[in-house]
Amino acid sequence: MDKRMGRGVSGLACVLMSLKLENIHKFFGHITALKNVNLEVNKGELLVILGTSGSGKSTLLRIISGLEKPDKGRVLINGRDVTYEPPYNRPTSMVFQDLALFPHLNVFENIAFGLKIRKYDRREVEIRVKEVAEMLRINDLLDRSVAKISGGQRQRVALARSLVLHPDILLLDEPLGALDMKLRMDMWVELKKLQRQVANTWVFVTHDQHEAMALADKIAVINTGEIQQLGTKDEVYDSPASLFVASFIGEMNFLEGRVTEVKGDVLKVETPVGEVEATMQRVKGRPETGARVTVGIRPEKIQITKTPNDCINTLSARVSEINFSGVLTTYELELPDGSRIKIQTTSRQMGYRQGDKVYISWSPEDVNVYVTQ
Amino acid sequence: MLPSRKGLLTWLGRRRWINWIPSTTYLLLLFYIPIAMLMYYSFWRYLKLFRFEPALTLENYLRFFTSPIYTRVLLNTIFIVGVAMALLLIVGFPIAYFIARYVRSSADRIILLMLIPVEINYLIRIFAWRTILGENGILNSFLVAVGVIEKPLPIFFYNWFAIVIVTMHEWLPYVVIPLYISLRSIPRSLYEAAHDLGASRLQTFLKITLPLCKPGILTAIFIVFIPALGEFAIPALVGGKSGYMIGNMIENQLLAAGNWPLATAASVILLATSLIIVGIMVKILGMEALYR
Repeated sequence: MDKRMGRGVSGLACVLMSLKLENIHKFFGHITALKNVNLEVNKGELLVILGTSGSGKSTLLRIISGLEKPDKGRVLINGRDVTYEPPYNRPTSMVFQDLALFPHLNVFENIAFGLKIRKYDRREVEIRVKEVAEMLRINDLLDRSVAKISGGQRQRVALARSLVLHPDILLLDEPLGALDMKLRMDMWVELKKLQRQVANTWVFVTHDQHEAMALADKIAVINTGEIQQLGTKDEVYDSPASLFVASFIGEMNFLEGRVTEVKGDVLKVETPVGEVEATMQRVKGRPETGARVTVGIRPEKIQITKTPNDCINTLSARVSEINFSGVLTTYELELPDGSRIKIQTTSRQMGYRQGDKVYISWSPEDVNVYVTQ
Repeated sequence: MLPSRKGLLTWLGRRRWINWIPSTTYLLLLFYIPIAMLMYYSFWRYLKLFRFEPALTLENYLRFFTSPIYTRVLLNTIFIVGVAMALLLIVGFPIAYFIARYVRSSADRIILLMLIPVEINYLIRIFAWRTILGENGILNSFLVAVGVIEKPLPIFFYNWFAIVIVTMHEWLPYVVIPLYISLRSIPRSLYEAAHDLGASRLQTFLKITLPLCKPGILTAIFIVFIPALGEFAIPALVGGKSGYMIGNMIENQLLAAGNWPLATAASVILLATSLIIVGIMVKILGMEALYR
């Protein structure tokens, strides 16, 4: 039996909750690396922590693994408080950014390291290493030196070394950073499959929004040590909680304006290019009439037509740039005040040319409103 | 006609063997030929004080190995240097580890500070130990003052352990530096990965730090063990009876007894001994450690 399993699980409520962070603070000298971080991850979920470099995302992962201690707050794994447990007493395993393979050991010995430390007998070590190596398709490499295999293979060895221990939580710190784009995209598909197969909780740190979208069940967007938003992919994409999240994930058109009317479910904003209407459930904060706000609309939510339709949010514009890139066609339009707006569509035959006068419109449900002041 | 510059370079470029000439000449003239001469002398015949004749006899070697004194001196030498080497690694490792992991930013300065005492004249440093370990030295005065002993004891000096102490003092920086370089090249993430995979501090040390430090250990042994085996000044000055080493025996045969064939035979035996010991170390630690 796995020596890590079944420890500290108390009560049904905790069984589903795999990882819980409560009010985590971390300071490095005068610098606040993490500020009041709260996170909950359910068993079997893949959480991606997304942030730029220096946002505190790696520090957060290191706190979960035990390599770093928080200055305030608690870390609970399977309901057990592990805040002050060393890494070797936690049911977590980490895949490091530089992979941290042991250069003096071959592939087999690297994967077997944790099992041998736990004093499993030789036969079981062999069975478990072979099993995980087969799953990751590196069973032909077991007697090779880790210095003499490719980057993608090293990746798999690092994954195998952690997975062989059947950790309750697998932590991954930008493990795909060293791979080229094509290989990364292949790995996304494979990792996602693998995660479903082993069915444990994964926490994956990255700065790449595409990677986050490709892998995540849940995304936590972190900036300057604070969690900006924790939600499903859809939530984070469709309804970004802050301007930062809105500009960080995907593309977004922004218009500055002032609230002119708040009535029931509808909010009206006066912008330099005309009036914009939004539904209240997409409004972040509680803007009063007269408040300065920023309005955000995703490029693919905007319709483009030759004649004005009778939708609420309709503006006139002029086509200034058309860019076809495979699946998507991106139009760059110039608004009457000279500002620019981006529109994306999958249809190619729209028959517009540079300089054409067009009308654009969007639904109030697709408008995100952020109070700027 | 002289070839053009470019022509000359191509001509040289095609003849790679030319590159070997300077180093080979140097080694040949200053190392291989003298060693060959040394070996040749070791087969000469000793007549009387400083008189020998060319011969091809094994009697010097026979005399060395049949005499109970010489073989004992050789074993004694290996023992003393072995103890010193082991203690050097034990003392040097924590120092190197500390510098590599905790004071990396000022590591260069610390290494420099360690080297300064080594730059002080060798004989003065050896004599300095007399003022510490000798009969009227600091150690004895201290022990008398605190009442551990009644009168100064002559046991701290003029014995084999005094050689160990002085040798360690002499060579410590040369052990710390290669160990430091080895340790510095181990990325921090390897220690963290080992902890994360369940290894305690001790297990991490034994399974990660120590094996990855092999090149440093082997280099330290190369640097220290071989010259220390041939040491004669330290044993002559601090060694006393129990600290008589093969270097003293060779010096004695060379300068006092005037038996050059025996002295050279002893040198050849010492050389062979060094090679064997280093060979054993390489076998144990793995030669590939040096190239990694």
